[in-house]
Amino acid sequence: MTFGRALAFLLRGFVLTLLVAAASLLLGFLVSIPVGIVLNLPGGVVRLVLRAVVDFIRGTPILIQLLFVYFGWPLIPVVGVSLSPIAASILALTVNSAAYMAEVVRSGLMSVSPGQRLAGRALGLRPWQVFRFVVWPQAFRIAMPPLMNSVVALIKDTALISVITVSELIANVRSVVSVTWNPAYYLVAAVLFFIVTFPLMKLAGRVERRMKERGFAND
Amino acid sequence: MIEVERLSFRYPGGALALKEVSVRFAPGKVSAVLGESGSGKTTFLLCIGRFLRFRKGTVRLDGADIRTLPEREFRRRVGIVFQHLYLFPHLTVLENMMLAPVHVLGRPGDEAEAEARKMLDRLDIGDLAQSYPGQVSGGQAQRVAIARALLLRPDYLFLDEPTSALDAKTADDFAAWLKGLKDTTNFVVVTHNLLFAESVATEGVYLSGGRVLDTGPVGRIAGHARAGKLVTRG
Repeated sequence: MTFGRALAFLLRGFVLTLLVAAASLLLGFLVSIPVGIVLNLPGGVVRLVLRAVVDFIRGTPILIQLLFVYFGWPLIPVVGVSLSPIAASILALTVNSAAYMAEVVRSGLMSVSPGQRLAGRALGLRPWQVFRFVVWPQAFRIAMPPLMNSVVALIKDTALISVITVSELIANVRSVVSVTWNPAYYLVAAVLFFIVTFPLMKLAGRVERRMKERGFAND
Repeated sequence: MIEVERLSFRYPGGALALKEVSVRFAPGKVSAVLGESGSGKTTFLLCIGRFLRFRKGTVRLDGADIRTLPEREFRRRVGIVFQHLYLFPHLTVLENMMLAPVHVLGRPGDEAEAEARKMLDRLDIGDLAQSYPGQVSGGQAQRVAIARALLLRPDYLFLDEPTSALDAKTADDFAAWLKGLKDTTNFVVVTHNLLFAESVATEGVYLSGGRVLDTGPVGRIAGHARAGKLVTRG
């Protein structure tokens, strides 16, 4: 196998890796916003249940979650559903990333001073407008750097979906190495990941710097 | 006219913070609510501003119980600038100013922007339009917060400890600036800064331990406050 053919094979797998990661991140982020809001509320049964679920997801290895969704869930009577490897991957990664991002959203919302809400109300804004125009934009800016960390972590975690037979980058690199007997392809796979994750890490730093330049502070 | 009658408030599980407070704020005057820290000034302000629900007493705005007024109407007529100002740090000064006119009064964006710029120019802070709150000084931020509240054209504007973040010189400038605005809005200044109160207000209320000890000309009220300070310190 030539280097060119091997690289093309790896890139095909990496595109799938990125598509699964992107879908999981998008869905996970959408889920994390309402969950983060509820986690920020005082008391309530829904909050307690969500708290327990988020803690459980964050306290267990993503590999176990992945294996359970693909192999374990179909075997549960009545509620069991058999999913394709890609669907199972997206579901497991979505739930996992939602749990981490909900925690980030919760702490971001908590960081916004209660006085900001008061000032929004004093100006006559309705509660949803206070959230939409005052609280959320600030919470999002505060949460942006840790959110980026979650994004980077999830992209790297996507490498695990090869264990449920998805032909993504890691599965493909193992095939290439088994044919070529050249372990340097592992380094090629690592570089591909780094090309995507490095700008995201830089972006998080840039957002932080921009906030400081603007004198962004919660008073 | 704002009429407060026998207003009492107790924080959950706490002591009585306001005890049968009765006071009137007449239009056309700058009034000052004076008192030491812990005298109940801020609780009084939060009750009048409908941020705390009081059960005993009434607060009337031009004869109407404020608890019966629709939220938007009340907020438009009674503005509050809090001690910590709470400018929105993610928005520029201009965007801070435009938020309520656009989303509360329903003004078109370009109209709201023109009004906001006009207000900023009128208040001599036009050059701050594109700055973020974190980039302006304490005195400038104070003016921006008041300008933001004035754009709703409130009948009454309450200012909570407006000089707390200002040095003496800036506080003097601010007092002169505020006096220039009193013809268009009725100000009620809640402060423990007696010199500032005397320089901007004509009427005063002296609160101590959650009670009104006296109301009347600000000079007399400030005199009580000074005497109270001496007693407290002695």
